[in-house]
Amino acid sequence: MKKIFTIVWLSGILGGMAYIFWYTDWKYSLPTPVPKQYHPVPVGAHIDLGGKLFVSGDKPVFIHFFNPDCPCSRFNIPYFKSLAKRYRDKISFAIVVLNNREYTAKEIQNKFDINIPVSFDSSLAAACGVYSTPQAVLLDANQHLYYRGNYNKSRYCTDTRSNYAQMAIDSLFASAERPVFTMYALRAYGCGLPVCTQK
Amino acid sequence: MAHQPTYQSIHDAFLLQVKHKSDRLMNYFLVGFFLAGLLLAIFYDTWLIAAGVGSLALLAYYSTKVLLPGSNTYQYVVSTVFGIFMAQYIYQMHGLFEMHFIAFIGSAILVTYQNWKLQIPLALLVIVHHASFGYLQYIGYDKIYFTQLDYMTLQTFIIHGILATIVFFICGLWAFQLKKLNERMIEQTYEMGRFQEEELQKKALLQSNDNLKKSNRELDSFVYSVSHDLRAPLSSMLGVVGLCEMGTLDPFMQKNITLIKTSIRKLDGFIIDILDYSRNSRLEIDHQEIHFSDLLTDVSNNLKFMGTDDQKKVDVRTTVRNGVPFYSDKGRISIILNNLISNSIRYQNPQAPDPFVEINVNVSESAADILVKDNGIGISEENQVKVFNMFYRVSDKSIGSGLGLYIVKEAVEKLKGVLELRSEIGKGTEFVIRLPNLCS
Repeated sequence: MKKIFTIVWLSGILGGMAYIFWYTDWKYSLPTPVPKQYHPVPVGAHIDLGGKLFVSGDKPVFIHFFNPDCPCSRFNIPYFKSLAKRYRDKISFAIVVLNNREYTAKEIQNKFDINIPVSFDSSLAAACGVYSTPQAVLLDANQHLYYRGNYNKSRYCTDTRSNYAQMAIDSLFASAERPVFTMYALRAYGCGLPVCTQK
Repeated sequence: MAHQPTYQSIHDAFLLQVKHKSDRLMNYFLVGFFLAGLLLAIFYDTWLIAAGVGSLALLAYYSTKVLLPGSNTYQYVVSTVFGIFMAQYIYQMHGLFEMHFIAFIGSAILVTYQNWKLQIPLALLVIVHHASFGYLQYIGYDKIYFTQLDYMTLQTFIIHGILATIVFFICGLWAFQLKKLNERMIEQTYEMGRFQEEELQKKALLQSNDNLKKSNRELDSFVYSVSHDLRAPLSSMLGVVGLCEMGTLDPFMQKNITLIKTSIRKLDGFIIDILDYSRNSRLEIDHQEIHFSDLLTDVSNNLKFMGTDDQKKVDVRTTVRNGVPFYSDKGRISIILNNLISNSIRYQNPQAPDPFVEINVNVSESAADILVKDNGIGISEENQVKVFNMFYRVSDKSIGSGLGLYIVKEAVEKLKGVLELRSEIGKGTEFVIRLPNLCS
């Protein structure tokens, strides 16, 4: 009797562990459900930043949509940092924080250990057609939407063949034809908005 | 002397000690693993998983320990828990490949229990997890990103798996060997303890044997010297009493002197018995050829004047058949025959018209069979066992020291012979003695 109880009990604990893993990781590997009131913003559309981001106007703009509570966003920090450092001469980088809690720009900059403009205006997400974090948005010098999508096929960002955000930057400067991105790049996965939940 | 513990009890005590020691270590390791998870949470803010999965893992371990206290299931749980901590750390460190070493650390920690089977849950967890995720990725299931490394081909995956298995196998092997080695050590310790105890026992036995020999020797020499010192004055007394007897014609005095002489002879007989006993126990066995006819003549001559005046003369009949020479201890055989024949004379049946004692000796190459048979008063069945006891006398009226048959028995045993007694009240007594031929 005691044995059976122990087996059930341990299975319960194992289930609890599995749930935590699911809750913090696996569910973000799946595509983020598209919100009902979502308005798609097509590639090539002009994005009016409306002075909400303090970026210089003559350079392409790379906006990183970030949620400090989202595990995917947190894991993505080192990769975004590497991108920002590599292209900061050619592109204006900015971070848009999508979170209900109060953060200061300094706090966010400290998380990234990088000095770039930080905005807390969630309307920018709607303007760019973003409904999850982490998401990359690249605007060309004329502030037309060049790329909006995932950084990588996975949160690990180790698969160089699927560094979609970086591929978008490279093709923008090569003035080559805009590459055709697969669903892995364009179908957002990660955490839903505004808090880290898919609901 | 302290009771020597059995091998099994030492073995069990040792296993219990290993278990307690390992359990104590496990407490530190598990807390360490939990704290390491919290430490890793700093990197990517993975507090929920560090606290959640970590504490559930500890709960699984300690609750199993409480729920099944008599079993070692919790050890298998800890093995699984190490695998889970590895998964947790890999997640926490954003897929940091080096976190795989946690599995090997866990595997090495488990060696402490000296049970190779504990490697199985950990190995299974790691292998099944990798294999299932790897398989999902290879068949193109796009929702799981097992690895993004270009070089993580199927071949690499197999090598990865084989190496991990080898680590688990080797750790299991060490656990097994450690246990075997300890078992062998326990066995040796046990054998050594037993050997030591045996040696001690042997030593104690030798010591008590020596003491016994010494006290026996002292007793013997005491008895011997006392007997000699007593007999000499008795002989003097007998001589003086003889002179007195010759010097008087008074019948009253003569009667008293006869009584004194009888008492002196009785006392002398007693001392001779003690002397015989002492000689028998003290002296080594002598090897010399025995001529039974001469010996029997000597004995019967010595006993010629035995018996009281109102007793009839006992006819001593001897038959000796000796085709081969017989070697043994003349002194002892003489004591044996002397005692048996004198008993026959002493305890003759007054009702019998012709009291006799018949001595038949039959000598062969291996032994001499001696039969001493009389038609005396006989010994009752209940007394037949007791008559060989020291100082046992059938009744207070018995004449003699009560040592005679005891000395006979001792002497026969000393000569490695056997003695048998058959007797019936009123009909007579028969002693059958078989003494080995000590010709070699």
